[in-house]
Amino acid sequence: MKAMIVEDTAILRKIMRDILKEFCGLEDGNIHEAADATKAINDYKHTRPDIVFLDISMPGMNGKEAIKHFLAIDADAKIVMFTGSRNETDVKECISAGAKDYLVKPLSPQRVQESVRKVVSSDKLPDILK
Amino acid sequence: MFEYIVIAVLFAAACAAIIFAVHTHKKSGKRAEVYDSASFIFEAVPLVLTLWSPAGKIIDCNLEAVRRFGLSCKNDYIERTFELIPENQPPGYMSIRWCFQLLSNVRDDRQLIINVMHYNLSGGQIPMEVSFYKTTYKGKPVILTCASDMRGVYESMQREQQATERSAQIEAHSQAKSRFFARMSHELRTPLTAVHGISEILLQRPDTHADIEEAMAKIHNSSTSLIRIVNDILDLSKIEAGQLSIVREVYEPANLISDIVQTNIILLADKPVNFVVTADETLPCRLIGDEIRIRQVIINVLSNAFKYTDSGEILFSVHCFKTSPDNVNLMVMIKDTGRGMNRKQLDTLFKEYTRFHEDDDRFTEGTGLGMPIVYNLLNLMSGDIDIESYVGQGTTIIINIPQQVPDSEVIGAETAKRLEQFEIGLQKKSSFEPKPMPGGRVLVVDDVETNRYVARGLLSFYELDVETCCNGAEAVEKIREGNVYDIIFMDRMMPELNGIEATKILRETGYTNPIVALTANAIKTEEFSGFDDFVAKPIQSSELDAVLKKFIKHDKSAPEDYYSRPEVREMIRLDFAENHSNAVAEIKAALAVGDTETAQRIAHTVKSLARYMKEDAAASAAAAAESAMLDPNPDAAIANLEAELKKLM
Repeated sequence: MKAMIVEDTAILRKIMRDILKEFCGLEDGNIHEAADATKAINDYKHTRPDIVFLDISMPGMNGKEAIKHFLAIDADAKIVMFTGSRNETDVKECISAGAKDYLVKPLSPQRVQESVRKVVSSDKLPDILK
Repeated sequence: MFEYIVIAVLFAAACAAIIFAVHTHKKSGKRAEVYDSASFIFEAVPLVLTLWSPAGKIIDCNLEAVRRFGLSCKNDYIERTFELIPENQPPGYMSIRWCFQLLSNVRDDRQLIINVMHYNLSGGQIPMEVSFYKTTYKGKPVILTCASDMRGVYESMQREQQATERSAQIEAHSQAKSRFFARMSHELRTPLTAVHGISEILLQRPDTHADIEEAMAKIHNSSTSLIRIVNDILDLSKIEAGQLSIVREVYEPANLISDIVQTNIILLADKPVNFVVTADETLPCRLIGDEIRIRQVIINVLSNAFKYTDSGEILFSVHCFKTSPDNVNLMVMIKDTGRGMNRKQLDTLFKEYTRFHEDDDRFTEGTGLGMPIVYNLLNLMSGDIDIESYVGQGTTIIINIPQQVPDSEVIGAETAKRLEQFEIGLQKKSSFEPKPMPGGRVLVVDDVETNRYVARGLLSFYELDVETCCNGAEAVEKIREGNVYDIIFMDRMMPELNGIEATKILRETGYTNPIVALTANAIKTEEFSGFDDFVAKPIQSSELDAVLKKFIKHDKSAPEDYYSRPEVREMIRLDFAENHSNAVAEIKAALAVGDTETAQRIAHTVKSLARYMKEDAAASAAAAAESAMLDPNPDAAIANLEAELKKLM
């Protein structure tokens, strides 16, 4: 299983990487990071991750906007949003734009696990989550 | 109309009599006698009769002609004829000269009826219908005219026509009004729902600035009352158009009482009013009737009690009396110590839009639609309403609605007591400290907006991820989409798909996480299958706390543990010191060049990192600074953030 983290704050990318390694059993090499949406969309074409964790609020192109670009490249893209608040409207808009789930910050390792289980097809799930 | 017929008959009879008399006279030869009878009739009929030569010269008139025009004698009439019937006639009337010209083309023994305007001596118009009859008299051709005053007839015809036009207009107007109201209410609801929903969401957000929150609360309250008014108008226009029908279904009266209490308790505000609820313990668990309409009736009456009672007590009591094995009378009494109503107000209470016309009662807002709706709905449900009211003392309203009972189970003393000891959901701060459970995910399924609001409010202290939906079908859909919740709070009675059926479906499809029933009744064991527990409505914060602690397992607050790990804390702290220690300087620099967006973003990042570090004071200072960026003067908020961050370093 391959994952992509799209988040502008470096330390939050690091935390997410650590959570994915420890709680989802991913290897460093299968985790791809991008600090902005434009780079992420470019990288998506050749990395083809099984799940994209996408921050809603970022400088430049925001997460909500990015969803449709990911889906244009891969209609089957599995996108999970990061959101800073419990604002349901933002989340609902992202879900209706094609995101599969959302995680409220601070990121809970258990919620990350649940989300991966829910979104990623079972044959690709790491053993630790099966 | 009657008047018209009488005059017409009289007129016809008079003409016939005169014609007959003249004819008889001509043929019989008994001159004196017949002439006498003819002249007798000539003088006796209450119509203006005149005799003319074919050339248009007046020969004679009857006494009625003299009397009608206030003249002294027949000669007077004959001399002043053309003063009374001037040649210059208004439109629609014909002069005598024209009449005689027409007559020259008419055969003998034929009559011609023409409108001729007459004038009395003071110049007043007397429209008259004149019948000209061409015949021979004493061997000479003569013209007998018979004129009748048409004013009474015209007036009554006019009145009748106006009345018909008016009632048609009123009918058309009323229908147009109903259609207009129905359409407008519908159109108004969509944008109103948006205003209402958005203000509620902003109110729910923890990071909403206090100023904005106050404004949002006002917008929210206003939109709530506006929605209520629009719904009232829509209902009343539906009732008027006969489009509102009563839907009888099984419902739980205890649930109904609880919902009504929750909805109305907000109206209490800070008034020194004691709200007392009593429910009969022999109240059936289930009734068959239109719950939505009954709720509407009770809420309307109860909200009036709250509106007009400034101090004292409001009593809301619900009883049920058996009228037959399958039927009961649901009796609701609402008694207040409010302003009361005088006789005049009582008389107009159920008339539509009464309030619109009342100038002497402007101090309380309201549309006056509530009570007409109550009255009409009760009529539709074969119920009745009884009002006793004294000015300055208060009002007692008793509502009776016949309902059916599907079974004999009653709510019992325990449920009755719980209904009576309601808790003021949001207003009363709980006596215990709720333990935050971040990462926990909860779904609240309830069809009553106020209940969802209260549940959200109570759950907001736990930093949970709370979602809501309005019925079982929506809940099932959410689970089908792959969502998993730590707890689903499921109301039992809901439209579309009720909580019991929804839970059954969820369990059948393999959903194993906790489902907690929200119920006003004690749950029967067979209904309990599928549910893991239940919380009584109205929700008590202590009960809710116990259920949350029971089902949101310790490992759910694991992020706390994860971020409490020394190495994780250290990593975040280091990063913060390295990359964000200049946050305030960067914010100021961005603001100096007018880049509010960047300033907000920096504050936002600081906020989320502070949350990771569990530095709550710094996190809220950053949140305040983030929303203050849009204010004309954000300096205070930024200074506060600076102070908090200094402490952190």
